[in-house]
Amino acid sequence: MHPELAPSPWTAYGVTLHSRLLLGTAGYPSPQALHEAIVASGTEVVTVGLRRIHAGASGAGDNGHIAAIQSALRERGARLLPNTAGCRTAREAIELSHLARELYDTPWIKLEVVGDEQTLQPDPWELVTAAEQLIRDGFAVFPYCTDDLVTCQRLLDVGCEVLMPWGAPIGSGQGLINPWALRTLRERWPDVPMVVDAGIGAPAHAVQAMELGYDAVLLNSAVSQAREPVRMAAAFGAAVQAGRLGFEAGVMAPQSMAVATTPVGGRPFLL
Amino acid sequence: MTLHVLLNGELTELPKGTTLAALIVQRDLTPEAVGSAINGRHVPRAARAERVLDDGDTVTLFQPIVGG
Repeated sequence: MHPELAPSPWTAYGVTLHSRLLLGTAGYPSPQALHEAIVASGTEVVTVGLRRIHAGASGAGDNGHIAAIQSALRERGARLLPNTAGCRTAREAIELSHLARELYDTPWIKLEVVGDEQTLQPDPWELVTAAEQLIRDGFAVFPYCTDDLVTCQRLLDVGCEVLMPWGAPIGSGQGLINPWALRTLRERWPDVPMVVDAGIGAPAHAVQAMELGYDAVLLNSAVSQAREPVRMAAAFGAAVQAGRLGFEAGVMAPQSMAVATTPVGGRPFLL
Repeated sequence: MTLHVLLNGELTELPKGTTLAALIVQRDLTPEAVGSAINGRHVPRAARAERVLDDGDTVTLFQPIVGG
């Protein structure tokens, strides 16, 4: 791609990012596939987690995946975004965030507080409570939230500088189930960095999110569960670029009826 | 003299006076590679050597993993 035609960069908590794809690291078939997918995607931000060490275990016990991430990060110059997956209360999420900050040496935190076991839908009350405390504690909070406008407003009120509404439930691959709500959020806060997080299954879904004007997308299963994760990572890297370029270029307004494109000036013979 | 703590869900007997730092080393874990909490509160790395474990403490140790 010609450098002048590359999509514009975006900014999160004062950090300029050129890639608009945030990539999860779970569920890959091997550390090598994970490493190659990170590189192929072009991502500059990868998500990671924390887990209780199994009783009696010693050593890393992650089968080399963390080493693969660190290796790819060095190659890509990418950043880590630890998450609070598994948390059900604000208190849990706050404590886990502090643990993550120490272990991963970053104030960035993807804040997840789940409120429903079937859909893994975020709990808005616990989420806002946790976000408020973590902002006070100096974190850069990336809240995983629903597309509810008032919840998003509350998250902004307590100091979040980025919003991450879901496209659909985590890992469902359904795409953007409520484009109207996502469009409304974008129109309501055109200058707030927003990332569609979760639910994306196909590159077309990422294109749609970018064409809505979202700054980035965050996905995991769509790549790790693909038949060929590395090729799918490349596909998503291209998709976010295409969608963003389309948004910046301005998509034409749709109309009900046909409009002739070839300027023939009427019928050719009038036979 | 001994005490009992719940270490990542497992009842564990330790000598009285054991610190959190000593427990991590005893478990053959790399101190910089684990996160620690006692009774649900994060204990920073720098505070582990001074945190003497009490009988009945719940100790939770964490490791980095992949995530979405």
